[in-house]
Amino acid sequence: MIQDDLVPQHRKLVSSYTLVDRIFRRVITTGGLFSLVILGLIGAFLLYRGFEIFSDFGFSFITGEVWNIGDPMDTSTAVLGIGAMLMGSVITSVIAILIAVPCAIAVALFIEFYSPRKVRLILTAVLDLVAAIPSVIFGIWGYAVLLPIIEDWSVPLERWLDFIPIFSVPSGIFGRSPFLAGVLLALMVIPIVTSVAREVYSQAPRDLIDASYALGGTRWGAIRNVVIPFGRSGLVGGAMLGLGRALGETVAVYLTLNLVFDINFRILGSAGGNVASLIATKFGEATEYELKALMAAGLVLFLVTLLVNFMASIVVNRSGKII
Amino acid sequence: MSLVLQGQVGRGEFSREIDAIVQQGEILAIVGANGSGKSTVLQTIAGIAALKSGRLSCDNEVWDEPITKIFTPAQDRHCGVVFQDLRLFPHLSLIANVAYGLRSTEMSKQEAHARAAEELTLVGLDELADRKPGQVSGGERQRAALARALVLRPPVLLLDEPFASVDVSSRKGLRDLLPSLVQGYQGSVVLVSHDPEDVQTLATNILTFG
Repeated sequence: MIQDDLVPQHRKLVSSYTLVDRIFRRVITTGGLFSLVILGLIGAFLLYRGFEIFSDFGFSFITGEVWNIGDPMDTSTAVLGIGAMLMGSVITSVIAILIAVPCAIAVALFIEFYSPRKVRLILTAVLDLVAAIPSVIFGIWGYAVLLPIIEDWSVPLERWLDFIPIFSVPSGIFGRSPFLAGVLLALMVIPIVTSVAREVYSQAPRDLIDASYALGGTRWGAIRNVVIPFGRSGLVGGAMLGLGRALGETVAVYLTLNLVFDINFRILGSAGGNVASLIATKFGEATEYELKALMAAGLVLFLVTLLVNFMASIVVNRSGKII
Repeated sequence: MSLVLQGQVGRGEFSREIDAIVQQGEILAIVGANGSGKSTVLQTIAGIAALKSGRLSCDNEVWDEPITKIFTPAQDRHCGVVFQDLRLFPHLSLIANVAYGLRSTEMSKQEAHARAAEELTLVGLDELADRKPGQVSGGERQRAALARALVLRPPVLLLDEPFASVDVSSRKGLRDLLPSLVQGYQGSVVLVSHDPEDVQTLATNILTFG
C-alpha cells in the first residue's frame, strides 16, 4: 500500500515569456499573417472583379476556346473562354518541366558530388545569377537567339517524328511555338529546381553513403542507391515549384509564343498562348467587360498556381523520408 | 591475410595511438569505454576515416599512409563491415541489401541474388528475404547486416558492437551463430565491443583502450 504522502503531487510547469520574447513573437506573427492577408485580398479582389464573368459564362469560361468581345456596347454578344490559353499554360509548363528536371538533377549531382570546390562555388553563383535575370531579358533573348535555333531544330524533328501527332505540323509554319516557349521556360526554372535538388541531395544520410562505400559501392552506386531515393520526394516538390513558376510566366511567353485561340497540341507549330500572356496582350486595350474577363482569367491562374505551390510544399515537407 | 595498423587514428580529443597486427584467422577484440576511439579504429580500417599519422596495410599493400599520401578509398578495400547502427538501406529488401556489395563488383543481378539468398539461408533469414529492414525485428536486421558483410568474403571483417542493438535472447542466438559463420573464414576479423562475454566467446586477441 502506497501512502498518499509518498505519491508525488502534480505540479504545474509554468514558463513565462520575457517582454522581448513577447514583442518578437507579436512581430513575427504579424509578419506571417500579413502575407496570408495579402494573398487573401488578391484572391478576393480578383473574385470581386471577375465574378460577373463567372455568373455569365459559368464553367464554359474555363473550357471555352473562343475569345470574342462582340459588340462593345452589348455585353450579351460576348463569347469568352480561356480553355485554349489554360491548355497552352499546361502544355508549355509540362514541356519546361520535362526538359528542366533531368538537367537540374544532373547539375545538382555534379555540384554536390563531383565538382571541385572552386567549380562548385562558381556554378552555384552562376545559377543564382541566372535565377535573378528578369524574365523580359529571357524573352528578348529567346526571341532573338533561341527562336532561329528552335526553328532549325523543328524542321528535322517534324520530318522524323511526324507520325506522333504532337510533332506533326500540317501548316508547315514553325517558329513561335509552344516548344520554343517550353525550352525558354525550362531555362528559367532550371535554377529553382537545381537549388531544391541540391538542398535535398546534400541532406542524404552520410552514414548510408559511407555504408555504400564500405561495401565496395562506387560513387554512382551511392548516388543511385542512397542519394536519389532519399531525395525523390524533395525533387518532386522542387519540380512543382518550377511548374508553378512556368505556369505563371508572362513576358517571356508573350514574346515567344504566337497567341492563337485554339487548343494546340502540335507543339512545333507556330500557335499557342498561355493565360498570363493573354492578360498581358489584352489588358492595354480591353473594354470594361473584357477587363472583368481578364480578372476572372487571373483568378483561375492564381488558383492553379496556388494549388501547385501548395502541393509542392506538402511534398517538400515529406522530403527526407525515402519513398 | 594480415592487417597491420600502427599510428594515430581520429582527430582532436578522440585521437589515439594504436599498434595492432591481426593475422589471418585471428579475431582481435578492441574493448574500452565509450568515446575511447574503438569505432574510429574500425572506420579508419574501412576507409571511412583517414589515419592521422602512421601506416595501415593489408598483406603488404598499403591502404593508408599520410606521409606518402597513399590512401586507398573505402570501395577499393573490400572490407566487410557490420556497423553499430547497422546502416541497412531502408528502401531495399533484405536480399537486395545483402546483394548490394556483390552488385558493386559488376556481378550480374541473378548471380548476386543467388549468392545473397545462400547467405541469408546461413543466417536463417531465407523466408524474410523480400522484406524491408523496417518490416523485421532488431535481431533479424542484425543477422541481415552480418550476411551483407560476410557475403563479400572480405579479406578483413569489421564488427562494430555486432550485438548492441538486439535483446538478450537474440544476442545469445547471434553469439552462437557468429563463430560458425566465421569458421573457415580466411580473413582477419576486428571486433569492437564492451560486452566481456562477446569478447571471451569470440576473440583470439584482446586490445584494451583506456
